[in-house]
Amino acid sequence: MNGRILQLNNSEHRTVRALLPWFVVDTLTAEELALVQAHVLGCTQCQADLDWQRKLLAVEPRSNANPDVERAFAKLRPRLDTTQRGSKRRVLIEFLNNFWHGNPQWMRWTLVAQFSVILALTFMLATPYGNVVAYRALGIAKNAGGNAVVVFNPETSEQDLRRILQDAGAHIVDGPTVTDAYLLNVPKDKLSAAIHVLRSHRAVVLAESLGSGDDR
Amino acid sequence: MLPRKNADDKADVEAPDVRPRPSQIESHEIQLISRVAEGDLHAFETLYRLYFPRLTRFLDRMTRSVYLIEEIVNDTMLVVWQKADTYNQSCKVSTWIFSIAYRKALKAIKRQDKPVEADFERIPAGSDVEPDHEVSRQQCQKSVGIALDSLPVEQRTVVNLTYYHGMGYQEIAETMDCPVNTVKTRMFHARRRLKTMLSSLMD
Repeated sequence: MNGRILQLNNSEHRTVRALLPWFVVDTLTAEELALVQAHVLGCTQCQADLDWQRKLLAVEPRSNANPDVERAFAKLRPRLDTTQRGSKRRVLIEFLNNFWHGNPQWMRWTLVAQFSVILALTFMLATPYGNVVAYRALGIAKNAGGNAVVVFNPETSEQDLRRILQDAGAHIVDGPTVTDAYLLNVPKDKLSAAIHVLRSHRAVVLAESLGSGDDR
Repeated sequence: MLPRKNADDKADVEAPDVRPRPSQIESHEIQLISRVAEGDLHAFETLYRLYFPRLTRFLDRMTRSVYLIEEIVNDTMLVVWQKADTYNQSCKVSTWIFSIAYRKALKAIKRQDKPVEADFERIPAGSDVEPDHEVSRQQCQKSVGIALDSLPVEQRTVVNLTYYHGMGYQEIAETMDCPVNTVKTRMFHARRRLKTMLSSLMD
């Protein structure tokens, strides 16, 4: 029992000790004030602490600096005229208000129309083009008209290369790629035969149709 | 007798209290701020002259430089001039202005890049000082000043705002933008250090 009372008193003592500086300057709430007053009556430690704090309060150190209000305000005065005042929202409202009431009616509506056109153009530029799909696969060069790919032996001469292509009825539309492949165009009805002819030459390493698979 | 604020200093003779009550001071300052928000330069100058001595006293303990003090006061009051319309009465006018000054001072100290804490070894040791009754008030003030200046700026600010500006812990927390418990902890550590440093003078 005694231990519990002692614990409560210790807790109260700590609370009061923390509040003492603001008791000295009289800024506590009524409840805190009552607590401190009741505790201090019976606590010599807090009474001594209070005395010490009152001494500290009484000897506020003097300021060595001696700022001059006239000089300081004179320095600030020109800055007041050049400084934008108010929050951004208020500044915007003031600007719009000044604009609306400070210009002739024809000018106001001209500027409003001009602003609307600029806004509409901005919106159009920011919107993607209708339904046009600009997707292009890297491997299929339909626009180039190629429907077969061929890879020749690196030692094949240009003359032999031309002859082989002529035999197959194909002509080059693109290449060579980094893997020495050429994109060929062959009439669709002759694609299978062309692939067969190409493969029959020793100089051809690879010949493949780029179609859906029907021509292979 | 229960301890009361400055109770020992007050005369027993009842005199009419002509000082305006805090609420009146506060409402006067709110009126000034409202007029400043409307661009009333005269109201601004009144507010400036009202706060100049308080802010310079506060900043003197933080910066120790007269030119820096004037610069920070002017930067603070320029913000008041610019942002008076944003003051929403959620705190006292003084708390709002002091919080601006505190932030400006911290920035200025950081820019200076030199410690403003003094060396408490400069305080005369117990054996060197005269007996208590002969210690002059000026000497005491000087020693307290040195002891205060040797505290970290956050602890010094809490002590300064409490004892020499009469602010409550809630107001100090708002001014320094920190929790109330932090204010109490800073005060606790500050008191302990001050007691050690000033033991020869004040015990």
